[in-house]
Amino acid sequence: MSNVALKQITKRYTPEVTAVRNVSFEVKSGEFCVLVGPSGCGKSTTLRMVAGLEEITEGELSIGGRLVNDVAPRDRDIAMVFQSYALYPHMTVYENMAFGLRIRKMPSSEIDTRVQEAAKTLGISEYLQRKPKALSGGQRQRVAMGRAIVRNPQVFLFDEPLSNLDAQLRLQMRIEIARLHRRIGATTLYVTHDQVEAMTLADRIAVLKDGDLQQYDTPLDIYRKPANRFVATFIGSPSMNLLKGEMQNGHFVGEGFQVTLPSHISGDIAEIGIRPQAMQMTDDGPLIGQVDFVEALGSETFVHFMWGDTGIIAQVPPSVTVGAGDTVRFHVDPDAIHLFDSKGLAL
Amino acid sequence: MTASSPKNGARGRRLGDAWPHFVLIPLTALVLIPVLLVVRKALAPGQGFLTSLNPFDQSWTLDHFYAVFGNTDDEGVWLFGPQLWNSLVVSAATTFVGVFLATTAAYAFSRFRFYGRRTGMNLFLVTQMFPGVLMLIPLFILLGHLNLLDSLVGLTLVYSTTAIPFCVWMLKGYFDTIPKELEESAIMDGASRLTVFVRIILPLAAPAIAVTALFSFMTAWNEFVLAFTFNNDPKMFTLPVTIQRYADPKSTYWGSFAAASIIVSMPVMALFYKLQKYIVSGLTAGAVKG
Repeated sequence: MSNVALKQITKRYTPEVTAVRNVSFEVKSGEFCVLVGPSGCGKSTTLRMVAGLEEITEGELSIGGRLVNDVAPRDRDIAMVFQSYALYPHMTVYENMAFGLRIRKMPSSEIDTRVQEAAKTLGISEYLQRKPKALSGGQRQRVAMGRAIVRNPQVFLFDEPLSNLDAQLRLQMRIEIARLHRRIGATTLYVTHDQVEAMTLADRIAVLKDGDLQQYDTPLDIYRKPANRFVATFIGSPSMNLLKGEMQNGHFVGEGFQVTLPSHISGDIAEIGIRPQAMQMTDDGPLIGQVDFVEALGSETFVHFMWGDTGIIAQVPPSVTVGAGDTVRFHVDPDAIHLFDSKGLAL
Repeated sequence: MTASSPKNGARGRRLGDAWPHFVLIPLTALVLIPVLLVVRKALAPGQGFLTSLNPFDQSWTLDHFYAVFGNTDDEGVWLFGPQLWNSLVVSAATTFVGVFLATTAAYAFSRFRFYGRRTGMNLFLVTQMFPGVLMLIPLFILLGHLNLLDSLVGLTLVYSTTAIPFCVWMLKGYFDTIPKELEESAIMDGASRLTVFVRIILPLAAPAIAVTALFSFMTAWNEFVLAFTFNNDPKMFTLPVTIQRYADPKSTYWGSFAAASIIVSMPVMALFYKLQKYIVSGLTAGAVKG
């Protein structure tokens, strides 16, 4: 397996339209990297540049230490799983999986061994003679992965592979992808807009927005120490509560609330962030809210209320019973508060 | 007020489904009358014109078919065989040249972005706005200069050039519907652009190519005016010109005319029959999500 290094990568379609701007990060050999961000953030474009399906306007892309900017996709030794599966409809599952190997003129006995092995791994052995149209969405997705696995490439690329599946199947396939990666240990770049997929699959996450890399770190570090307010709100479910206000005598005061910050904190604090999970419901908490509505999910309960014009969500244990109109009190550990300056950068 | 029973509802639906048949069956019969007239005439003795569709009012004969098959010139040289061969060669060559050039051109128009792409497609469209006869004299002069009058090559060239614009438009429309990811997937699998075209695109475009081939074949097979103008040697005639020869200024041989018309229609009918599954099939089902 090989590492993938992006150095100051830029993709510009026209002088006015820049899809990706100066993105740099390195996916170490065998690592699972997830590119995450909202629609139009440049994550798929970045992946397609790594694949060689999009030209790189500026910057350097290396795979296994080799500069591959001008190397054709077929010579990069990369396999890609597409969002739409992109199975060849006129070929059987077997032929789909064998296609890449036949192109590379591999002996048919070796092709057969690899296809059978991959099919067994993915549980699709009994469908090998079927055409894609006779398969369900999940089976097609497995075939698409099988087609990538048989080639035993240096790098795997996944472009939103689960977004066409229903919620239950998505969860199941997510676990299978994680297992597969653990077994094969291949360097993987995975694009998704689903932050739960990103958190659960990734060794490292690259968060993108408007073509810019916001943060590249491990899932827990991104969750615990988001680099800016965008990352803070994008990662974590429900989103982090953001509260505008100003410092007054060691307290951060905004409309409808006042939070005590650790004494060593100073600087240009324009906003604070509190994750719903950090809001501890207590009888004598200093933060008071009147419940707007309650979402009881069984395993957890989310309480919604307003501080001024800002909607706040707090996660409370499912045993707590509150209803709309009730007054609730919260305590927040000062160390669990995220601080942002006027530019939205974390302090 | 009573609710209608499910049985009544089903009957109502059946009647609702049936009414188009009441309209379409008489219309189809109406359209078939000229065809039946031709068949009737081809099988009736004598060369006179018939208006009766009654199959029992006269005896049957295959004499007209024998006459057409055995047609010779004044010196006794057999003409039907060479003329059938001419039609087959010109039509097959037109189909091959037309489909080959149109497929490759349409793929380029569909997938690549290059200078003059839109203009090129529009120019193809403009050529379809004028009747082919308009080009008769310029083409005659051109073929004369190229020494291609009274030749099958000349006819093939002319037919191919008239068929290509339509074929390109038709195929480009179909190529546009083939998901780009299929090609990208093949490229990632290590395929070259040519391999992608031959092993992915062409098999998927088979229905469109079949229809295009049929169109090209029919264009050449049925064409009369250009063939009549460019080829004067009876040995170089194609079958539509032969048919016309049965309508002599002095007397029209309606029996032979009808028999020849049926013979000429047969290959096209056979092709239609053979290719019908492509015309209605959706081969890309299952390619992508869904």
